[in-house]
Amino acid sequence: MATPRNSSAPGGPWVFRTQLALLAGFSAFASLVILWIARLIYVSYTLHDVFSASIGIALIAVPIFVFLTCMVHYVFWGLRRGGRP
Amino acid sequence: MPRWGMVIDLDKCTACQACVVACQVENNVPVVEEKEYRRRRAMSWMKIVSETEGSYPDVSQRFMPRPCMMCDNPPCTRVCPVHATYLNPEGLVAQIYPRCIGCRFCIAACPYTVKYFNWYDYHDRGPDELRKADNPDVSARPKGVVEKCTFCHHRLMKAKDKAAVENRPLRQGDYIPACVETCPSRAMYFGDLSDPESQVAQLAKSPRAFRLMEDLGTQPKVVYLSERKPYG
Amino acid sequence: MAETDWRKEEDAILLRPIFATGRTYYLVVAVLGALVLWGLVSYIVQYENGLGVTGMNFPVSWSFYIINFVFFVGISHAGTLISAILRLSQAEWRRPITRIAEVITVLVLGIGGMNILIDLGRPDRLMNLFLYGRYQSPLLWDATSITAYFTASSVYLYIPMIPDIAVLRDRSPPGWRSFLYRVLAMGWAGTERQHKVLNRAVAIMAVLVVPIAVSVHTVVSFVFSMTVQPMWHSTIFGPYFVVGAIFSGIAALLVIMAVLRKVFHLEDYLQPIHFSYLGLLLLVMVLLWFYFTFAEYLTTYYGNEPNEMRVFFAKLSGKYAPAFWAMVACNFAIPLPILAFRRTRTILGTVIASISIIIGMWLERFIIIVPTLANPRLRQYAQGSYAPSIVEIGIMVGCFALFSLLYVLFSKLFPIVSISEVREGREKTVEIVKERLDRYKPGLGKLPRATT
Repeated sequence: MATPRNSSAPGGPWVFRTQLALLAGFSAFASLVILWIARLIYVSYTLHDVFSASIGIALIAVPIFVFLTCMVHYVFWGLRRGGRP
Repeated sequence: MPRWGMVIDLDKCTACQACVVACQVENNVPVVEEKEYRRRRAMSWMKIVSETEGSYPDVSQRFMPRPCMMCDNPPCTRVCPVHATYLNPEGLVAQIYPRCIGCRFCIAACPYTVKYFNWYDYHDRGPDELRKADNPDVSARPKGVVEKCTFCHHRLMKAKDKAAVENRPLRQGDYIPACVETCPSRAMYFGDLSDPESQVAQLAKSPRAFRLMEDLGTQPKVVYLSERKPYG
Repeated sequence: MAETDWRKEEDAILLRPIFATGRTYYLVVAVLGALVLWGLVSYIVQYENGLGVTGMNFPVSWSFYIINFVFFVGISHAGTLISAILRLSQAEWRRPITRIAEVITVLVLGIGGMNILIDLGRPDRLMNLFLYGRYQSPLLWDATSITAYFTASSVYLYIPMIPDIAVLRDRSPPGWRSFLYRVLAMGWAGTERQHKVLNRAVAIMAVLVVPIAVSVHTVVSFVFSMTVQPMWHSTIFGPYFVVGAIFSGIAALLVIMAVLRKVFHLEDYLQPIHFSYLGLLLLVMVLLWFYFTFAEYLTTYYGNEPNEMRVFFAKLSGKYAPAFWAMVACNFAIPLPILAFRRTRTILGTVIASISIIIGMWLERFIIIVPTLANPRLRQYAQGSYAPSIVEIGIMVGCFALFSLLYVLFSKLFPIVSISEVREGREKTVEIVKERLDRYKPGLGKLPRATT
């Protein structure tokens, strides 16, 4: 591979800030989804309306979103740490 | 808690459609223009369903008034994503018009096809003369919302209010839907199915009593009394 | 100079669409943009006037938009099958195809979800779904699982793309694109630790994405099978829809591969053998689809339940017979002979079969949805009918154009063939496969050991 020009140098603080903003955005999105599911569990409880279905779906969906957020964080920080000599 | 139900005596029903008209006037059911009718968008909460059996000259026709069945195990409420249709404690399958997002899942799920959709703002597009006949007790539905027979729920609210003001419990006959009230041959009965003394509860036990598509397990609360002798 | 550096790359042709823009590109974008605009205008007409501008009526209250929703979500299985399953089964020939497939998935899920929103009578009340949603309703299962799948497949698309973006970052002239690549490359330098992180993440995602994908199309089928309507209330719908989705997904992938191969001169990367292997997978799906369809219809026919038989005959010999038999021809009769014989399983052959299948699978969704609605149990609406209006056609064309446009824009910004995977293949394929063969070569009495 030819010598990379811009390579792994951070290339300015704005690059890192944008990356952090993207990471925060993703985490916020996942949190909103989990919040939504929680809200629906609450609504089904107060309206006495098939609470079990909400719990059932939540048991599957929430871990998926938690896992995806953890995965994204793992890649983000892992690449950052792995790039440093 | 009362469980409101209806009994329709098919022997007395003459299929005059007075109930259809009364329902339309009482509930501000929109009249769609002819072009929309031809596009199969007409709405009638109460509808006379007809079935022709045999062929000429041995034809017989049967007519059944079909309001919403007010199922105790409604397929439509199960599938509503936003709680816009639900079974209320008095046994009525109610609609919350401002919450409906118009996904039409309940229309697809109802085996009796009693639910209708406002494809346009039919109420506002209707002729002005009909505006004068609007019932102020019933909200008009905007476009994009599902509606169906409510057993004239607004009449129940009014009756309850009146009873509360007069400091007495709700009496038999205080609350009666427009179709039942209008029927000229007195073929329709209405009341509390959970009250064993009520007329509907006793008629529902009649050997002539049957419900539509009972095998689906929807537990409809509209009971039909079959004709006493072979028709025709 | 950085701008011409990319031509000296070994896989320069993969970078060409990104750095060199021809006139055709602008023309294509303009045409697609116009079609998307037509779709947008159609939707505005619908939003202003109400769903009455469509051909939907009573009792056929669901049609084009729901058909398109199921159709597009079905195609999303292209990405999962190819990318995840082939990665998990370590099929070396997947390397140039993975990104093409993954992009299809992400885009098509967005457009499928959009079709549901288009179908709503009151999209302005969408917040009600978030405030008052009910998890007993299959539509909520849909909303949740499609959100999960969209998120997972976006992550699964992006992570393996990081090394490629690093290549772009190193070759880009300064500008907003250079900034974009520097941001998205996440400081990739190709160190061993970074490779470890990436490979682990991709391996885990490949496993996670498969059950999510299966669940998505299963819950889409539950929208129909959870009602009691004739020929909808069928236990086979879950697997049937998943098979149909994988089926249409591979077909869509093949068509897009052929187009990209032509347009971007990828003959070296997308070779006839790729089309042949995918064609074989497609053949298996043809047979599977036929098996499920046969089981479904034979069971209905044998059961002879009156309501179901009305729908059955409406499909086979009644009003919907032309669509039904066209579906069988497009999904089975035409592709089977083409794909079964090596002589005809060429690039052209597989593309013809795929186009036929795409049309056939759209018809299948039509045949599932409309005849049941048109023949309700209560015979008051016997022989309901439906014909699409210009608004629905406009929106459908707009959806296809939007997909194509977004795909074109993606291929302008990022390499559509995974450069790093192809390079890894070039360097390590022989080694990987040799190691694998060593493990099951019979009678050598050798234990597997690391090759030098």
